[in-house]
Parts: sequence; C-alpha cells; structure tokens
Amino acid sequence: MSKDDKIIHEVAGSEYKYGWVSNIEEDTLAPGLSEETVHFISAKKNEPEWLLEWRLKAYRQWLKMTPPSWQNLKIPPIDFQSISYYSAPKPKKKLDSLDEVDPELLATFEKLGISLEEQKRLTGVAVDAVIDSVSVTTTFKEKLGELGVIFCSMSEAVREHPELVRKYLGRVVPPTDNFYAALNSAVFSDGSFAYIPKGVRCPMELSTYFRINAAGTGQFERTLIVAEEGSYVSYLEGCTAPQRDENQLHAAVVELIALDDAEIKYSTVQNWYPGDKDGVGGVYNFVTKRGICEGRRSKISWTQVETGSAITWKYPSCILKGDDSIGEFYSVALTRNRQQADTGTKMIHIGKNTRSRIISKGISAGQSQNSYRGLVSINKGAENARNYSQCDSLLLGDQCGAHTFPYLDCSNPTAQIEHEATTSKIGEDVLFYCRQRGMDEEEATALIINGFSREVLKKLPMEFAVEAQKLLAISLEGSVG
Amino acid sequence: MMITANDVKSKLIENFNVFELNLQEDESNPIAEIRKEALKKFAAMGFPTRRHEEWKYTPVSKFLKYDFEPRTFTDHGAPDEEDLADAGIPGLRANVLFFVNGHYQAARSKILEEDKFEFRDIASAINDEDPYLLSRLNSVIDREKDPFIWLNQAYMRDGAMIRIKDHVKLQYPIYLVNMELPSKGNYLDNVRHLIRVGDHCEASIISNYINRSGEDRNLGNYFIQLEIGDHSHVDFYTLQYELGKGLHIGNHEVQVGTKSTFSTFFFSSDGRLVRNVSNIILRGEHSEGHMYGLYSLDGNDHCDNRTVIDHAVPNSFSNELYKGILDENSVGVFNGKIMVRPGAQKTNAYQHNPNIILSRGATLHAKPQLEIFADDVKCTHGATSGQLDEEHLFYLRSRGLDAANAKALLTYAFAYEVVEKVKIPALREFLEKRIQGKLLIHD
Repeated sequence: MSKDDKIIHEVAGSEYKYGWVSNIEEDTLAPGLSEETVHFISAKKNEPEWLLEWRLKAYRQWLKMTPPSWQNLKIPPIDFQSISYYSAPKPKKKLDSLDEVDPELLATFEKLGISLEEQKRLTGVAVDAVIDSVSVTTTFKEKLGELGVIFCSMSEAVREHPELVRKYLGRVVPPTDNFYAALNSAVFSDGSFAYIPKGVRCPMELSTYFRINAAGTGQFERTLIVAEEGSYVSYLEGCTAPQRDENQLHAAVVELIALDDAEIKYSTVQNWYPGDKDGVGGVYNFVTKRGICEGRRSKISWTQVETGSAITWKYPSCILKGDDSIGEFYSVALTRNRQQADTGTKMIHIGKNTRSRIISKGISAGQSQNSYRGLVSINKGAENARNYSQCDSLLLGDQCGAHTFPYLDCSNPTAQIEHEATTSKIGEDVLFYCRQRGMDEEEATALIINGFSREVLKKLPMEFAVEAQKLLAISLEGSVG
Repeated sequence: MMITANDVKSKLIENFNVFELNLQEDESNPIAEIRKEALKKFAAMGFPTRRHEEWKYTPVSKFLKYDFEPRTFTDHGAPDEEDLADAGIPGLRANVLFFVNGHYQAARSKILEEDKFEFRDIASAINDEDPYLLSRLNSVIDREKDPFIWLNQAYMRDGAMIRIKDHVKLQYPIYLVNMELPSKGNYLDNVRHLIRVGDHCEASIISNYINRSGEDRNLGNYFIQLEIGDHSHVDFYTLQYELGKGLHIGNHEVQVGTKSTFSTFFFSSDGRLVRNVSNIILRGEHSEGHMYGLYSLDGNDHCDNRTVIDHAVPNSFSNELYKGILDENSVGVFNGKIMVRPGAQKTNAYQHNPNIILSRGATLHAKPQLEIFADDVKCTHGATSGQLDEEHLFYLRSRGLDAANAKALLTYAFAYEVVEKVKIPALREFLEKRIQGKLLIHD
C-alpha cells in the first residue's frame, strides 16, 4: 500500500469522535404512529385546536403518500411504526438561570465545546438549546426582547404568539409538500421560532444546537423564521449526535420568510452520527428547507457544512418571488466510509431582476456516494433573472463516487443562466508543489481541502467558521493530523 | 373518443399476431422468439410518462393520440421529383442507401464502393437468418430501459446492415436517406440500421430524415446500432431538416473499440417531436468520443437530446458540444450524462451546452449530469442560457446592419461553432445554406 493509499484509508476509516450517550431522564412515547400519536403530541404540548387539525390533516395526507425514490441514494426501508414520536426531557420547574439546568445536560454541551455560560459571557450568542425535541433553556431573551425580536421554542411560540405562528406556519413548506414534510407536519415535536420586527437588525447570531439523544427517537424539528420589512437576522444551526447502531430518522422542516428589504442568513453545520466504517447505524437526515423572498429586494442565504449522517437528503431552496430578490446557496458536503449524500438546492425565479448564486463543493472518500442535485427554474415573468452555479467535486480514493445532477429550466429569453461543474482528484502537481515546500502529504492534503472549501467556509459567521474547519479536520483525520 | 398512449400500447400488444401473420416469416426463424421477447419487454415498460426521469421534459404520451399501426403492406410508395430533391445534398458524392417508409429501395440507391463494404437490407437478412443480424439483436444493451428500443425490436421489418471490413478507408460517405411519404392511416415505422466497422477503418455516415407527410400522424421509430473496432475513425451525421410536424424517435447505441475515434453530429431543426438518444460506450482504452449537436427550433418544435457517454475503461476521452437556439414556442431539451465506471482512471470528459432563447414562448430544459465512480479523472460540464449580447447587436447596428440582420448574423455565428466541425465540405455548405435560410440572412 502506498503512502497515498494509507492516508486515504485512514481518512476513510476514522471513527466518529462525538459518540456518547448522556443519561438524561426521558419522557418517551411508545413506538408507533397513528392519529392517537398525533393527538398525544398535541395534547402533551397543550396546543390549540387549529394546530391539532393542521397536524391531523398532514397525517391523513401522509398516509396516502409514498417515500420518494428518485434520489441517487440507497435507503433501507424504514418502519415508521417502530419509531417513537415523542421524547422530552422531564419537565422541571421554570429555570431562571443556568445553574438550575440539569448538570448532565450542561456537561453534554461542555463536551461539544459550546458551554452556554461561555457563550453567554464571551460571545454574546443567544442559544436556544434543543435536546431531543423540547427546548430546555433559552438565553438572551431579555436582550432580544428589548428590540422586539422573538426567539423561542416552537411550543412557546404557539402559546405566546399564536397569531404569528398561524399566519406563517406551512406557508413555505405546506404540510403536504412531500412525504417527509408531511410526516414532520403531523408529529413535529418542537423547534425554533424567530421573528424579527420591522427595521430591526438582530444584534447577535441566533443559534440552536440540536442533539439527538434518546435511542430510537426520531427527531422532527420545525423551524420558522420570519424577517419583517428591512430587518436582518443570521441564524446558526449545528448538530452532533451520539453513536449507536440503530438508525435514526431525522425529518426536519425549516421555513424562512423574508419580506421587503429583509435578509436572512441561515448557516448549518451538520455532524450527526454517520454510521461506522461498515455503514452500520447512522442518522437518516431527510430535511425540507425552503425560504421565500416574499418582498422586494429581500435576500436569503443558505450556507451548509455537511459532514455527518449516514444518508443526507436535503435541498435548501429559495423561492425568489419579490422583484430584485436574491437567493444564495453555499455548501460543503463531505462523505466518507459508506455515507451517502444527495443534496443541493432549488432556485425558483419568479420576480423580475432576481438573482441567485450556487456554490457547491463535494468531497467524497472511502466508499461513499456524494451527489449534487439542483434546480434553477426561471419562470416566464422573471425578467432579467440571473443565475450562476458552480459545483466542484473532489474524489479521495478510487471506490467513492461523485455525481452532479443539475436541472436548468428557462422560460424567459432575458434570463441568463450559467452552470459549471468539475470533478477531479487532488492534482499530483499540486501535491508535489506542497511536498517540495516541506509539507508532508497529510498537511498538504489538509491544506488543499481547506482551500477547496474556502469559498464556502468564508461565508459562515465567525463563530461557526472555526467549528466548521475543526469539523472538516476531524472528519478527515489521518491525513490532517 | 380520445386515444391515449395506453390505447396505443394495448393495441400494439394485441395486434402483434396479425403483424406476425402478415410478415409470413418462417416459424422456425429465431427472429420470432426475439420479437416475442422484445414485445414482452415493451409490454412491461409501456410508454414513458413524465415520472420517467429520462422522459421528464418530453411527455411522449401527449403525441400518441392516433392509433398508430405498424406498417405491414409492401407498397413502399414512390417519391416524386420534389421528394428526391429534398434528399439531395448538392455536390455530395456518396454511397446512397434509400429507404421509403422504412423499406429499402434498391432502385433509388447507388453504391459507389461496392468492393469496400458489405450491404444488405435487413428484411432479407431476417429471411436468411443472418447470424450477424441475430447476434446483434440478441446483444442490445439498452442501459436506459427505453421502451422504443423494444418496440423497434418487436416490430422491425427493414433497415440497413452495413459491414466495413478491416483496413478499409471509404472515399465517399455512406448516405442513408430515411423518407416517409404521406399515406392513409397513421403509421409506426420501426427501422433498424446495423453498422459494423472493422479495425483500422475510416468511414463517414450521413443519416437524413425526411418526413414528407409532414404530420404528427406518422411516428418513425429508428434504432441504430453501431459497432466500431480498434484503431478506426468514424463520423456519424444526423440531419433533421425535413421532418415537418412529424414524430421521430431515434435511438443510437454505439460501441467504440481501442484507440478508435467516434464523432456524432446532430443537426435538428424540425419536427413536432424529435427525440435523439446517443448512447456511446467507450469500451476500448485510448478511445475518443466527440459529440456535436445543434438544435435550432421554432414553431411548436419539441426536440429532446439525450446523450450518454460511458467511459467503461481507463484512458478514454470525450468532448461534447450541444448548442441550442430556441424561437417562437419551441421546447428544447438537453440531457447529457458523463458516466465514468469504477476503475476507468485517467478519464478526461468535457461537456458544454450553451443555449440562446429568442422568444418569450420558448422553453429550455437543460440537465447536464456527471456520474463518476473513479478518482483519477478530469470531468467538467457547463450549461448556459441567455440571449444575444446587447453590445454585439449594437456594434453590428452601428455598422449599418438592420436589427433583423444583426440578430440573424449573431445567431448564425453562434450556430457556426458546431457547423464548422463538419468534415465533409459539401455537407457543411449545405448546412450553412439551410441555417442561413432559416435565419433569413439576406444581403
């Protein structure tokens, strides 16, 4: 085995670093899905009648749907009856400070390197920590409250701001949008809700850390962000999950709504358990993320760093409805061992002078399969629409695959679309150059991969960029050292 | 009552016996079994719908609204002077093989280089149970699961079987004229062309499709199998300027041997429904595949270009350039795939698909794909869509051209990048004139 091969094998074979199970008492519903399950979840959360109806409608529709099969993924059949649809840390008395939070929970965050206190004190990031479906603690609420920014868990939003939730929930991703969105709509347990009032520039990055915790518990998050006229918000979502052999289903829905002149920046670092090197276990990440640039001159920007999950199926999309609105998608997807990813974006141009930009970087190692799938659709009325897409894939090892499936649909002669894609391995000349400057192969590979992903990583907020780089490094450990 | 694709399908399955009886083929002929097998496959697949990924943008069932009948009678029709003029390419000296309504017409054909290649019509090859024919019928690859291939196999009656021996350089191209004449009824013509090129050969083949009925009541279903040996150079030209409102399905399955070069050229500018499928398998090392296409559409034309270049072995090269000009209410589809098989290291593959949309009614669907299972490769694809550059138009206007001519000239320049790749001078001139005529360039 040459040294090259050795490095590649090490990269491909390294085990998941963030695998542990924290022992927090759970209030878990027995596995199974029926109308009763939906009733139970809704009752448990003291939801109003309309929301229960909304869930039931989604559930009934879901029964008629079949899981999608067009994607370039091999998904083992999922038994939806063997999943527990509700799991929440036992309710405790209202907390006023972090001291009252379950110490074990705090330790979990500590291991992840995101101590709440640290963040509260040093970085000024408000964290709405979601552990297994129910928000446990929300910080910086007061400070945000002064500006009128609402940032809370979805259940709280349903209680405190029903009019907003009712107005916007399901507006971008209708309950019957697709199989997994329907499932989510029926059984979503909790999630985050953010509302930025007119003209407010949110003073800090809003952030949620997701963790899947109880064995056999599906996680069905629902996130809704509404940016009123002229407002700005940057939202961070990051996740790691403990190691175990049972496949876990995660079917989240994220909806973004940007009104006139508003801007939403949504960043994700995803590092759920990818399964071991033989492909056993790992999270199934089937997510529907979509934003609508409802108003004129609004902007939605998706940035994602995807390194985890056994199977990733997600297409953060932008509907560019308002004139002069902008959609952006920046993605780094890294797969190794037997991971599979089919991810990309959709840019739907409806308004005039709408612009979109897609930068996608795929890195495949081991026996993984990494696909980019994207749609750029220019509707008849989208005068002077403009799109630029670039999809680059890097292959490490001769047993992985990199695939590109872009779809361009254009019905307007004034629109301009450009798409380009490349696939290659790390050039020997590039490696050689680094080597002759005194770097060993591991360092050189790390440097090149870092450079390859740079265009996307630099779009992440500062706090995240560091973590994302760390993640890429850990994921490629062996070559990165 | 409205006829649907399902009706067409069930009728094709039910009436197969009648077709067989009419054929009067020997019962012991192995072709009977091959036909039955193919019909089974067709029955299992049915006509594709929009849910069929490869047919997403071409709703073929929309066009299957007459009860198409496979032609069984032997009246081949006789083309008149005007028809023949359409088939002629001025100044082209070629080995002409003439097919009318899917049947070979010896009287219209003219083979200049009889000593260099072997030709026989498929109809007689079927009767003689030609072993080469049978071996090819039994080795259809059909990676895409295309029902039209199996429909063709079940109902095929005639076509050209061409074999070029090793070390032969053809001086003149082989010119296949595929003409459909107006007839009463709605016919489905299933034509098969089988071409085998030996080692160390050079050959050009032109296939021209002419539908004189000009209506969407005739469906030409062509399946062309091309097998190229080692160290050979083959150019294959497809012309679709005379399809009127006809329906045309063309499947091409090409296998390229070691150190051989294969080039295809598609010029499509007509047809209510045209679907060209090129499935090229580079199965020998150091082989090359070049694909050029120009679809300039107007009216209600619908042209679907599906290309697959399959790099099955290491060290192969492919280059693809498909250009589209879409006017009026036309629909242009480009769906090109670069496939690199596991172990096909050192593959270089390029693909480019620029499009110009000239009118509000026109629609473009582009789907360039890369499927790569080997790491030491360089593969790129690009696709663009836009309109003519304002500044270029202004420049020409400032030099005294009127708006229409400036537009036509720029569009012509866009198209010329593909036309100039044509290696046969008479054919290139012919294409230049056709495109100029279409764009209405005048002095």
